[in-house]
Amino acid sequence: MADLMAAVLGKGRQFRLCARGASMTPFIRDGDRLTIAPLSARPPRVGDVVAFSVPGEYGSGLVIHRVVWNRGTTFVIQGDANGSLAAIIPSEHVLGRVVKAERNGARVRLGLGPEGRLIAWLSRTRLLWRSVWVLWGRARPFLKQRRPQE
Amino acid sequence: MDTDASLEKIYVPSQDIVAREIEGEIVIVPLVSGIGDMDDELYTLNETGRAVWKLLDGKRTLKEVTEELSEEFEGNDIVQDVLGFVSELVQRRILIEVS
Repeated sequence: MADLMAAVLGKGRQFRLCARGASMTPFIRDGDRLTIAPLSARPPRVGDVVAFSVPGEYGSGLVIHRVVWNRGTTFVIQGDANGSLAAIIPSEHVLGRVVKAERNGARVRLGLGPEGRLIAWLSRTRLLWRSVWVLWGRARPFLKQRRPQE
Repeated sequence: MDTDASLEKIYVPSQDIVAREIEGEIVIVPLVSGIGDMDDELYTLNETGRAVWKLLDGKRTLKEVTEELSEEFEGNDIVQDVLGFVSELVQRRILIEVS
């Protein structure tokens, strides 16, 4: 898969695939259709969701995670999901950038725009899931009120 | 567009596909509307198709291809197999004729 993607992106074309796994939950979910663009337009930035491949590692060889830190010749890359481990990836192993996500035929925008930088910062400081839990706690009473009355 | 392959013609892979050998199989991804989509139709070639594919280098005519393959695939009707295979791929715009 990584080899095919690299070949397609190397032609300056986009590559579309189905996301697998839960490491990018909640912004990208298992089954989402992702469009990956070549990096020729611009190099990856903190907050971008990128596809990378490290030969001999990561099972099938292709991983889609978020850049949380740009260290020049390497990137620190991490899934958004709780407990996802960060990895240091040489920049030449980053194949492309996720530019579009679709779920059940509808475009998913949250997590792929400028807010990606905030998500990256929260992930880096391990605040993302603490923030989600705080927001969830505040939203729960509202969600209960919306339940139909019996 | 004429999609019937001819032994006198030369064919090459289109610019609108990507082909890679993965674990011994040739996998072809058509770039439909400029996008390689893993949910769309992918093609994998069988042993004969793989042998033909490797000889479609833009220099050999199909006649030369069949001659090279006739020893390897002795007993098969290699001419008809190659013509059928190439016609199918031309129809799907995976191969194009060299003018």
